Amino acid sequence: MMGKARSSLLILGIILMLLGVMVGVATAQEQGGDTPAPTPDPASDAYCLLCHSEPDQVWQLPSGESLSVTIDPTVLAHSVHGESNPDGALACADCHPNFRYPHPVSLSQTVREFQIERYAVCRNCHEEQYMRAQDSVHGEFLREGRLEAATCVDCHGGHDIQTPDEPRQRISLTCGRCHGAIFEEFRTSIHGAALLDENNPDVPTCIDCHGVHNIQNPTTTAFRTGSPELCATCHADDALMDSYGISTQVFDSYVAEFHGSTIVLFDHESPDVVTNKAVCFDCHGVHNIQPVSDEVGVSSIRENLLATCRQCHPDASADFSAAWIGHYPATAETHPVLYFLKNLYTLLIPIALGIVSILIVSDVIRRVRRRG
Amino acid sequence: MAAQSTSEPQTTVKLSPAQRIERLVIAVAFIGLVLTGIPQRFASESWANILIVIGGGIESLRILHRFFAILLLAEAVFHVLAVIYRWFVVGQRPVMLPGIGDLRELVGRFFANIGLRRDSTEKPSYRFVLKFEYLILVIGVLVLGITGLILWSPIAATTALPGEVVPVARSVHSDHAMLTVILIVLLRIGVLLLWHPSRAAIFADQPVKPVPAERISARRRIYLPIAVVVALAATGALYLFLSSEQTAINTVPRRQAVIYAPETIPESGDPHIGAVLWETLRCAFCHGESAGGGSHGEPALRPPELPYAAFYEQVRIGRGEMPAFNESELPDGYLVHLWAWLTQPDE
Repeated sequence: MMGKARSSLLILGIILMLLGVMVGVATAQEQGGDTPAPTPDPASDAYCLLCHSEPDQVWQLPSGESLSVTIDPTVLAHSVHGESNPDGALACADCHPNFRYPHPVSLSQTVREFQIERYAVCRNCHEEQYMRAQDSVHGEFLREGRLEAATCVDCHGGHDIQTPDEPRQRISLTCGRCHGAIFEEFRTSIHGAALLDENNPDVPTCIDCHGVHNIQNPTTTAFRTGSPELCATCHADDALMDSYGISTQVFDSYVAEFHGSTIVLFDHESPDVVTNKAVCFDCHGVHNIQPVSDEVGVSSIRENLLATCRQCHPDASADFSAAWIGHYPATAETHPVLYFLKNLYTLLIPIALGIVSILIVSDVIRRVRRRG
Repeated sequence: MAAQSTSEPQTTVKLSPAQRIERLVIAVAFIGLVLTGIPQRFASESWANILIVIGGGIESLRILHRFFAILLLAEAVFHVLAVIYRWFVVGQRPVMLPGIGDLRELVGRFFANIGLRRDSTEKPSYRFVLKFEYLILVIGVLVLGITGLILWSPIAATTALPGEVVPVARSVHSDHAMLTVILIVLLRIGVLLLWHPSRAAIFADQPVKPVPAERISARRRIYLPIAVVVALAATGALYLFLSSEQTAINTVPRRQAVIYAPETIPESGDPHIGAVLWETLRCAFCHGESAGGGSHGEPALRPPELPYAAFYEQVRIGRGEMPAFNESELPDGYLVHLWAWLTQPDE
């Protein structure tokens, strides 16, 4: 009996041992090895992602707003700061220094306050762009406490930053996120439609007129006075305008006439002094500039020219708009009287100059002959 | 031709105080108009800019130009009245306007100077120069006065004249001013440095015919009231012309625009914009560049099988692996454009 009981205990012991080994192996497999997994370096991305890769991670701010703090490492890796970065992928701590867990207490009450508090970190690598932005209308407004003014992150993104001007339409789409009403005007304009629908590389995006980081306030007198020079950047460029059959006379003719010559003088001498002379956008519109070559543009210009004149010349008579001969030189066909008189004086001035000069020279000859 | 070959008597015609003042006013107004006008014509030149700055800026320069213009116009009105006075009351015929004889004298003098005609005169008269100079001034005041007034008040001018008169006036004003300045300056150089013609020579050929004092007195009584009325009427007409209508407003109206409008919804979606957004946002990352589906089973979205409302909700709430995108990440306006592209048939 004893021998039978002993062998039963032995079998039970073996089974328990086997079970113990199996449980141990299973546990070890589950834990990834025989040794417990090492805790990542607290300064490493892996450490941050222990929590921040978890879905639906949110941070509740005192205002009651919640901010998603879930980070998709793949998105980060495909950003300009990720694998394609020529200086190597940035680590979390590069942009979030001193943010080790437990995180420091933020004094921000709202998401916006937190974003504004954080964007200064861009300066660490992008000093020049950051400082230019501080000198811009956005920087000025932020200092005035207008929190809606754009920061680096508002235009470039946070973790998913891409090359900001690829494709080129992206530039205006970015501005349009905050300036939606203006973007809606722009996208149907001659410039906007060519940019957004045709990906035309020659038409301006927002930054071509407003600048990139040092965007100046476009409502100032100085901006208004300098605006024709801005338009001239393209419209006085013969090579560029030739491709579209647009004459650069549009700018030259403006500068040669009363409004243009005055504005250019103000721009050079006293750009901050208000003048009532019209600039390009007073007649052509600002963001909603329409082409003059199609039916809508031509008819609208012809029909509305007097109304346009009357914006500044309220007493303008019905025929006053004919005083504007357009942006092209007078020809015998379009403006015969003006053309004839211009040519007449072109002849008359040298002839008159010649006659008097000849008389003076002849008198000098007489005196020399008499002395001789 | 006899006049050109005879030496002129060295007599002088004494100018009255009024005539002296006239000359002074003409000289001041002419120089003032030149100094304030030339920089405007050559405004794009750097030397002209210096003159404009000295003049207190372009607007100040224009005001000064108009001041001198009014001065010269007033002098012109006075001069016309004075000439008529001398003719009608005193009996002096106007002698300063050149005639065909003066033109002959000019041509003769030129040929004599260059030796193509016999010239025994030691000191030629050159009196015709003064007459031509006078004519140039008269024409200059007329042309520049009329065109200048049109430019001063183009609104009033185009109530009666066609609109094209304004660019014509601008062109003529500029060109004729240059012509006048060139001629007057050159003739003055000749007059002052070479020719020294005497006004007395002009009056010498046409001596004043004595008029009885009673007749002068009687005609003066008739003429002076008329002259005063004409002068006042001219002043009044000029004032009305320049002030009856507003030429231009002082402040250009500001355009109203909503600067900050992040929640703007486009009236209609633009598939071109939608395509760019698809490329630049993270959509293509999972759903493929052409929205034909991702490599890990992410669904194709073009054309979408959902209505817009369901599409919108899925973007905002997320589903499964699809993360939720809030409005700051993906504005409503963007979704409208994205939808326009997704629903657009493939070209």
